Amino acid sequence: MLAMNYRGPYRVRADQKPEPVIEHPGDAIVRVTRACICGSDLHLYHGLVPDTRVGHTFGHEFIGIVEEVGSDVHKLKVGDKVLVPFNVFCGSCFFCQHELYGNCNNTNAQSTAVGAIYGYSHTAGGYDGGQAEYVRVPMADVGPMIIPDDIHDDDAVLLTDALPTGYQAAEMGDIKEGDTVVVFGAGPVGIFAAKSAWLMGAGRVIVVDEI
Amino acid sequence: MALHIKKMTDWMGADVCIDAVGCEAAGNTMQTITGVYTMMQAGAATVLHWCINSVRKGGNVSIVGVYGPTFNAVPIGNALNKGLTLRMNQASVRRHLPRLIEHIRAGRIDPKAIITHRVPLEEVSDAYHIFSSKLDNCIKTILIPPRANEVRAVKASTAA
Repeated sequence: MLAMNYRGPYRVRADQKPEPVIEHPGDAIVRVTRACICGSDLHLYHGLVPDTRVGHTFGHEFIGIVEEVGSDVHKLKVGDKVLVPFNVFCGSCFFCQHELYGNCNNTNAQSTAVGAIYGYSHTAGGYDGGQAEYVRVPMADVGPMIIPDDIHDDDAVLLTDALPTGYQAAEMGDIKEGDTVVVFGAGPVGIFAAKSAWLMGAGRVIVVDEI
Repeated sequence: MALHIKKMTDWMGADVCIDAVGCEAAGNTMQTITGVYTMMQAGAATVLHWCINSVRKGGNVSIVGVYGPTFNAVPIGNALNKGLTLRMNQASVRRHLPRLIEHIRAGRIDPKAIITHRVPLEEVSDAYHIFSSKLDNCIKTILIPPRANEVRAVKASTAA
């Protein structure tokens, strides 16, 4: 299949890679219909993230259609249209029980600091990402969400990372009615953070970036 | 940067600052050189500086910009990826006094038990030396000025 292939800092290309296969009964194979490049992908691209291996496929913001399910997948069936959150998480460890899906204990053996992320180097678990035709989605009953019929695909793919992250940024700021909020960074996440700040009752929102 | 934000907020600073930039921030040459080009630390901490300096006292800094798990002067990448809450301040003493006094009265806390050295103020230089060099099992030193033990007449005192 065609997949993004990391060849070293500032060098990526589209290459033929073997299609992923079910490796665990809880896996699903998703055929990607939309994938985004995230601002944080640029850190990978610039060679700043440790253990980024040549041959790795990036991409943690993707939606697609379920093409195959493992024997232990019950909530998804072939043909379902899903959006896949960028965290790879198990749903049952201490951290997942506390809704800290970005800090799952079970999906990333390489680090005690970060949970697992699709396509974000072996530091984040080594899972190949969604900038490809197909992705192996582990723990498919837990992560992916079936996209409701009334949600546009473009909105759905932004729900995998950018919008929730911007929203959480505002939520963590504990914004009170009338607060002045400054958002540094006018990229997608910053823009969503600003929007969320307005929704949370901020009196003034200032967004800062270079021109 | 902080100056601009202060000007815009009546010199208070913002209530909340959000870092939506992360480790490849532009805007500070030293940070970019040490953090991005030479990688002496894991990325430029520029926006963290701006957040901390632009927010008002007691305000919130919310970080979603990505930093790596490798070495930073402050391991902010680990803090981000672990989802930590960092809270800090100078102690707001007045607020704690009533409760602490109650604890002392009830005998639950005996603060003076930690005092190890009582030194006349004239010997302050020695006191510093002892404390700094960790000599003589010094834990806590009380300095006593020359006329400290003089009793002044106090209303309702039946001095006997």
